[in-house]
Amino acid sequence: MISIGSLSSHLVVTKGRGSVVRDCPGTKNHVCCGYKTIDLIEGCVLFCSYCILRYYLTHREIRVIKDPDYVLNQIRETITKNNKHILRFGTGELSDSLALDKKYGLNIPLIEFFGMEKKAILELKSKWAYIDHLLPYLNRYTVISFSLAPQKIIEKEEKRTSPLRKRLLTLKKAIDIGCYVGLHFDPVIVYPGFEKDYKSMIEDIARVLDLKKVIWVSLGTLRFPRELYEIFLEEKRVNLLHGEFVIGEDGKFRYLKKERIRIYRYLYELLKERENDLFIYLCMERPHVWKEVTGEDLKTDEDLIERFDERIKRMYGGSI
Amino acid sequence: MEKIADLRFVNLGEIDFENRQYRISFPSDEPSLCTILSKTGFISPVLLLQTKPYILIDGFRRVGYALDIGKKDVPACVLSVSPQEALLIAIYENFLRGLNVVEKATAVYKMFKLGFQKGDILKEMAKLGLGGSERILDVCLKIAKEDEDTKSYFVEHSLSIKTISYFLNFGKEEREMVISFLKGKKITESLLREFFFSFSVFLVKFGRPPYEELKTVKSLEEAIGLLKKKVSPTLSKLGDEFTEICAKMKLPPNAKVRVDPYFEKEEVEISIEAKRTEDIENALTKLQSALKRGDFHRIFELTSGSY
Repeated sequence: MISIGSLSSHLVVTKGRGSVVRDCPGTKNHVCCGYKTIDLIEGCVLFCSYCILRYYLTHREIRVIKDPDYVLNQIRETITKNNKHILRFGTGELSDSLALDKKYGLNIPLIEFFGMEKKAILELKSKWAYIDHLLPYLNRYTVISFSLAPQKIIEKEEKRTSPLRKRLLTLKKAIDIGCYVGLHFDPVIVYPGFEKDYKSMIEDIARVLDLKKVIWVSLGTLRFPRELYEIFLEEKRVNLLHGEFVIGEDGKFRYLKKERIRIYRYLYELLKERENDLFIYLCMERPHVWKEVTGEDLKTDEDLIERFDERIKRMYGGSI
Repeated sequence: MEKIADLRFVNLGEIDFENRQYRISFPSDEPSLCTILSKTGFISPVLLLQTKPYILIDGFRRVGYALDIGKKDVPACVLSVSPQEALLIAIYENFLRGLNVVEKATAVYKMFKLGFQKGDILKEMAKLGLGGSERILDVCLKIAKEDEDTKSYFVEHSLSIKTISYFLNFGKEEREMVISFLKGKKITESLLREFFFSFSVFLVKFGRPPYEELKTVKSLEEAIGLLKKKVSPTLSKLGDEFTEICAKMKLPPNAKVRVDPYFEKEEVEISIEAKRTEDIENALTKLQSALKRGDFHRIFELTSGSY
C-alpha cells in the first residue's frame, strides 16, 4: 500500500483484495435492476452533501485499486457465471466513475475489455464531465452516464461537480463518437419550484442530446439513513429537508409514497413527451409505485432485469 | 507501556496545583469524597508526573482536601512517562469509577490537544464506549468547549452524546428557549432526544424556532406530537384519517386493524383475539359492515398513496 500525489494524506493505492465485483445491494419489497458494481475506487473527491458515502465509508481516505488483471478476472468470471442476462456493470457505486480518472486512467482497461468481450455493458456513472482522455478507447459497450439535477441544486448540494451544461455537452461528445448514454435523475430533490426547474432541465436535455441515443433513464428520489438526516440537520440543508420524510422498509428516509408517485409521474410524463421510446426505470421502488407511475406490473427483480435485456438487445441488435 | 513508578510521600509545595492538563473529573467539586477522606484518611496514593514541579495526573480532589486540612504531604506514586501516557493513565484511572458524558468528552478533547493521532483517539473513544466515528469525535470536542452551566445540564439529565449533538446545533436563542421550555417538565432521555430531533427539523424547515407553537404546550409528549404535525402535515393527516375510519368501524377491543405508520406498505393487517366463538362472530360482523360501507376501500386508498 502506497500513498501518492498531492492528495497523499487522503489517497491510497492498493492491490486488489477480496470481491471487487459485487451485486448492487437490493432492498426487500423494492424492485432492483440487478446491476453489478465494480469497486475500483472507494471514496469520492466531489463531496455531494446528500451522498451516502458520507455515512457509508468509515474512512475519509480515497482507496484506489490499481490492479487491472485482478479486476478483469473477476468481471470475466461474473459474466461467465451469469449467462442468462446481459449484465450491466458500473464503477460509480462507491465513488464517482470519472472524477479521478484523468489522473489514474483506471477505466481504460475496463473499456477495452468490454469492447473486446462484447458480452456485457460497462456504465461510467458520474457528475464529473471530462472524458477526453477516454476518447481514443471508448466503444459502444461503454455507456457514459451522468446524474442530472437542476443547476440550482448543483450549486448548493453538488458544489465540486461539473455544471449541468458541461455534463450535457460531454454526453453529446460521447454520443458523437458512437456511445450510448444514460441519464440518472437521482436523487430527485423536492423544493419549492422544483417542477419548473426540472421541466426546463428536461427541455435543455432534449435540445442538446439525441434522445434516441439514450439507452436508459433512471428516476430515484432522495433517500438517506438516519445518520445522514442528522448531518443534514447539523448543516441546515434546507433543500434536502424540504419534503416530508418517512422510514422505508430498508430503514432509509424517503419522501412519502404519495409524494414520490407525484414526482415520478411528473418526470416520467415530461420525458415521455420528449421521446416516447425512452427506457425509464425507477431506482429502488416498490412494485406498487411502479404500477402507479408507469402502468407496468413488475412483481420481481427478474421482471425488471428482463426489460433491461430487451432494451439492450433492441439498441445493440445482434452485436452483444 | 513501560513506566517507572516511585512510591513516596511528596511535599505539597512541590506540586503544581494550577496545572490541570490531566484533569478529567466533572463537576470538579464533589463534597462526598472529602467526607470519605475525613473518615478514612489517604489510602490510595495520588499519581504525579515526574517533572519539576510535579504535575498531577490523578488525585486532584485528594490533594485539594489535603490542602484544606493543612497537610504538608501526600502519599504519591511518581511516574516517569510521556505526557500522552500520563493522559491515558489519568483517563483510565477515572474510567474505573465510571465517567459521565462530559468527562468522556473532556478526555477526548485533552487527547486532541496533546496531539494524539486521530486514529488513536478513535480507538480510545471506542474503549470509552463512545464508538469510533469522526462525527462523535467532533461532538466530543464541542461538548468539552461548552460553558460550565451547559455541561452541568448534560450531566444532571444524564444525556447521551446523540441527544447532546442535537442541542449543540442550536443557536443561543434556541438554546435559551429550549431550556426555558423544559423547566418543570417531566424529562426522559428518549423523549428529550425525540423533542430535540423534531425541534431541529422544525428549525431547518421553517427557518425559525417554534416559539409560538410551544407557548401553550404542557408536556414534552404534546410538544413532540405538535412539532411532528407541523413538519409532516400530510403524514399526520393520513394518520388522522385512518384513526377516524377505524373509530367509525366500532370494532370490539379484541379486533384490530393496523397499517404501516408511514403508509409505505400497501398491506392492511386485521387481527382478532378470541376466547369464545362469539368473540369471532362479533368482530366479523363489525368488519363485514365496515367492508360493505367501503371503509377498507378508503384505507387502501391511504396505503396505496394514490388517493
